[in-house]
Amino acid sequence: MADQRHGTERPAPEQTGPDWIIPAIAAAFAVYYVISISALRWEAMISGLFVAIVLGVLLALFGLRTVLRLRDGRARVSFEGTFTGRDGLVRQALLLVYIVAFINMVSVLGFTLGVFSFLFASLLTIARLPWTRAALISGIAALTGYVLFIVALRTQFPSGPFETLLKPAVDAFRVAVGLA
Amino acid sequence: MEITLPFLGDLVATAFSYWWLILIATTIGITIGAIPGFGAQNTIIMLLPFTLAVEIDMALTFMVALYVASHMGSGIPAVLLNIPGTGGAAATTIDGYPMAKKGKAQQALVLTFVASTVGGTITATLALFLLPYLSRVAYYLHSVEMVVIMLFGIILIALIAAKDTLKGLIAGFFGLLIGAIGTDHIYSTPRGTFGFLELYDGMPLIPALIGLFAISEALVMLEKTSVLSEGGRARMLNSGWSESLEGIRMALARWWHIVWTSIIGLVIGAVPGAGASIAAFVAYQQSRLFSKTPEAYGTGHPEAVMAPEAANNGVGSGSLIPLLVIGVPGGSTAAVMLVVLTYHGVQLGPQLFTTRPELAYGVFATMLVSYLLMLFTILPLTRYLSRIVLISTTVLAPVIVVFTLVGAFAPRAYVFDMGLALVMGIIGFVARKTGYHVVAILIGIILGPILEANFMRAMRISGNDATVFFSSPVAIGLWAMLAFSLVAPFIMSRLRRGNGQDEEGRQA
Repeated sequence: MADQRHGTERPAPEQTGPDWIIPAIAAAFAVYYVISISALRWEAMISGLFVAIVLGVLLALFGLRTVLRLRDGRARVSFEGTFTGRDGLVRQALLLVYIVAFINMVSVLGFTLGVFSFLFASLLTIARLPWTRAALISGIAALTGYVLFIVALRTQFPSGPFETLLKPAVDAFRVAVGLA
Repeated sequence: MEITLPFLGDLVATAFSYWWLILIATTIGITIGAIPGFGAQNTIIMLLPFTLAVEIDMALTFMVALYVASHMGSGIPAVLLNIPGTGGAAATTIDGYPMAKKGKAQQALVLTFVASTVGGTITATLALFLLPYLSRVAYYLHSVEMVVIMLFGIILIALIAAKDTLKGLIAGFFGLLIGAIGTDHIYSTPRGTFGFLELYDGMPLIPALIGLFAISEALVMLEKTSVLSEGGRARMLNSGWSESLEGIRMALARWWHIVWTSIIGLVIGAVPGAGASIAAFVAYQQSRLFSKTPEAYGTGHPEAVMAPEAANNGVGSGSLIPLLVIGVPGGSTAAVMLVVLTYHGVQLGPQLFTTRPELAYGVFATMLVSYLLMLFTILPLTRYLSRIVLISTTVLAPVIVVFTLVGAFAPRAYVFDMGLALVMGIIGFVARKTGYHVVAILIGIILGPILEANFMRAMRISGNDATVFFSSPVAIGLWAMLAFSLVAPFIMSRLRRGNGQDEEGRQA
């Protein structure tokens, strides 16, 4: 909101608060890093220490600037509008849950079934697609990934029942095209 | 050896005779370049059974074509999804993605392809003739100069990537500190690893890139159901081939811009270890510095899309120069190529130009042919590629996440790296939402280990005398450029403000 006093427009105060999350993480990491190197020899610690000190100075400047802005009324503490509304939050939370599940399950399911399960669950609940469409898209994506990454590029992704089942056929194909 | 026109003609004709192989390699290159985690070096490693089995000229043609195509491909997700395929395309996101959001994805893609092709073609041609001179660049840059270049890089990026310089610097130095994770270069003692053995080799770049860009962007995407603004969607739905033609016209009208920014890439690429990410940012910053409309940078400005792409592709030619001339690879892909060439019995270094000139110069002829073939195959696809942004974000986000997560796994085959990508994704998401540019964090992570290695080398050589960093004319010149880059934006904005006031005064 503009301040109309004295006939001049004054810009609305900037929002501060959320922009302290990254500095807080950076400060915590810098403290941990400095502790982790405190017993090391000079050569092992100097460059990291230099970066940590510069980071500390920058964070101090940022803190000082925030205090001055708050004092002058050019900033206000607020978390309003930084993060999304309810629908968006639910979608983001679901995606995070599926990512954690995928990371934990991929060693058991293998690449193809892991990708299929992740996409099927996501498309069903986040995109809210009908299950037939979700299954079709997930199946095509998982099979494309299998052909490109595992058959063609031979990436060492975790193997599961699907990869184990098709391994003899893939090996025979590679021998046939001279890429064994 | 003197280069004559008939010799050059022979080289290009030989490269053209492998057109079918170049088409296969460029298709693979563009595809893997567009998928974060599958860089050219990983793909060449995966395809070693092929490159080691065939004749040397065929192997070299395949590797070079794949390499240049991966540079071009990395701009595609940068423009369409705000996710660079490689670190070299990180600067392309700054203006490419805003163009896509406005419904100008097709134009932005054409700009990146034309800038990549023209920039790559010019630098490959220049490299052919300037090989002996460019190779000397590396001789003038030792650890002392490299430290200044690295600091230069991180400060430039902090100035460019964030609207708030202080936040940009905090993000950059936070990235540098993350880059300092891992064992030290002398005693191999672990630092800041949280006890994880997987971090002893340092912060792996691919999971960091994927987390900071792909996962965080997917989370941001889910706040809305479309990448496009309302006006952007309408524009996209009505767009036809005229958008591509307009993009070509815009790019060619700015041909000089492509030329000089690609030369920046060529020169920086010739410095071993400097890399495409720094070159792209230096080109972006220089482009903005000399622009008549610097305020348009960051909002979807055509020149700001072309500059990093031209430089990124210029690096492609530059990084192969030290490999061919002195046998020192200028980047990780060049290092993999070195392995293949050595296996085939090729002696790299000055003697290569007398014993196998067709091989040494043929690399750049292959680049020329690859760019030419790529342009004609990829330009018609821009209309269809750009349609990706019409897909709902609720479908796009999970697809991006799952394929980039497996990309995080690919280089080291550690499930741990997927977890790391998730952690970096959450940090990236918070950074994006609170005004800290993820590009600055990523570049800090990339430069951190290089900075430390060069810093330690310089200190050991000088007997721990810090004045060594001001001991050479080149280093002093670089410090002066660094200081100039810090103050130049303020001087230029004051000058512009002054000119604006004069203009207003005259109008009044």
